[in-house]
Amino acid sequence: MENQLEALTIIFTEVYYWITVVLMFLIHVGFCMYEVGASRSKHMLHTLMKNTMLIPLVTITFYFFGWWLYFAMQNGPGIIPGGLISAPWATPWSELMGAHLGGEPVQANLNAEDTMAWAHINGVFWAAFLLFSWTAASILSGAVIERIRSGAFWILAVLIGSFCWIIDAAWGWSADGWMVQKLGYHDAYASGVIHAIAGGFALGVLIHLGARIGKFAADGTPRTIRPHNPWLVTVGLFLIYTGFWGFYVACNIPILDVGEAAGMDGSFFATTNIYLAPTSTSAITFNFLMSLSGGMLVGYLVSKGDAFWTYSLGLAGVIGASAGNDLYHPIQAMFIGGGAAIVAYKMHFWVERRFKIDDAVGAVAVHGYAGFYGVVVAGFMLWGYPASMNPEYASITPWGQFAGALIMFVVLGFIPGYVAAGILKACGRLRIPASVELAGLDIGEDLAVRADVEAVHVAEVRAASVMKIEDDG
Amino acid sequence: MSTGIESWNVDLTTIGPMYPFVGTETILVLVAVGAWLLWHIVQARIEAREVEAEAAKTADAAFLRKALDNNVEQR
Repeated sequence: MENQLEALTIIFTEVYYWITVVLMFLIHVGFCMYEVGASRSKHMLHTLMKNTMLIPLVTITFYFFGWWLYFAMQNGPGIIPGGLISAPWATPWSELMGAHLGGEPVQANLNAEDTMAWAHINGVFWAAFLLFSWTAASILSGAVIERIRSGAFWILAVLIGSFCWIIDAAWGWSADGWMVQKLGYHDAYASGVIHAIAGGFALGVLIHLGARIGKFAADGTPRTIRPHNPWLVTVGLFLIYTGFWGFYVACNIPILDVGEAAGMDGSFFATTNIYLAPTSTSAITFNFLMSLSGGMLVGYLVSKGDAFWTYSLGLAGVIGASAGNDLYHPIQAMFIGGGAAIVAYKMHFWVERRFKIDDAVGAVAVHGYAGFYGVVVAGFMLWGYPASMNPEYASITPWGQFAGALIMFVVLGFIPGYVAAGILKACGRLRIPASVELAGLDIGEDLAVRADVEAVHVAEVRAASVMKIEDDG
Repeated sequence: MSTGIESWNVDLTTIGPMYPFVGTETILVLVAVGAWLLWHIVQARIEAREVEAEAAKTADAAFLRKALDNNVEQR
């Protein structure tokens, strides 16, 4: 860093992404609370640990290969010319995947430009993307509670978190991804690239996993399985809202000179979206809040004031407007959010009744259907907008967005989830035995400590009776 | 054809509003205010119906006593 202004810009950017990671941690605190609250007491600890352990597993696999996939796969490869893209700063053995001061590289496949560009950014950028990976896996986690084997879930979590979503990001959530070049795909805050893909993946898994025992009556009527702690569920969702702020700002680049890319003679500093096109933090702040409000207001009415659904549909509102929340007018975002709430709520119950899909927390609806809707709506609202600073790339169109939504939900979401869950099921490794589900997934922990619990109780009773004899003199 | 911005390859200092359908702000506000007021009207009607139904149930002394007993147990 050669002068103070350059140093300030670089280190500000570094600290900016670090803060987003801290905020996004709250999404996962929220997911843990929400899932534990939604499950019945007999499954609590198992549910907590199932969600918790995706954190280290997705982290290490994202380090091993996820980050590299983001850069390497932007051409498909094989969809547009260019093949696999070299990304020596992102391979797990790269010196830039560790503490680095930005000086001359030691490894032969790096140059001084690489080290200067990536030394201060690689860790925090990797971490911001990693938190999105955790989110993709956590979306699946809620849908499958109370009957999936932990080991199966963790394999699926790595697949969606460190493989499928990051390929969709390479394709449609990067400045030069082939979907941006050819389809004009625009998805600023990840309606499709995180939410639709994770919802589609979850739907594929749920088909093989099957419903919880007792969920459907003999005639197919779905029954409500009540959360054991509705308060914990809603506070968890509230924490997810809080962490979502970090998600939004992590999707942006805080400060970039876009003057040259715009063909200007001088500089033009702006906050940009992931496609390096201008937006502002002020714009996304307006739109986040208004789309949340639209979702909550409509959600409250359609769900008749149900706490779980009002909070969930607030989230669906934000997700539904996210594809274009860098550009929408706030009132447009509000109505789009309200529309997402209706789509998510109606589709959840229709799919549940029609196909007997037991989605324990409505994850497929809130993320999958609302995300799909969000990508498609952006195609109409932003029709004709440039998808990129590169004038040769396609502009945003309804058909480009619809194709993009299908790629996210079906091609990279549903199909891999369905196939992977099918393989796990064929190996007898997907679902826990029925008797364990009935006794409760925590039965193992309960049995392990039961002897101690009883012995402590006997000791306490004995102590109490000795005290009484002493009192009686 | 574009609903708003047609190109980012312009003098960016000349770009003002970035949202689509510039010029519709007033209509948007009017529709949004109408939707807000409608929300209150719909909510009030639904709530009145629900409260009436709940009041009819809790008017029964035995039902009310049982509800009070449940509340005590939960405390």
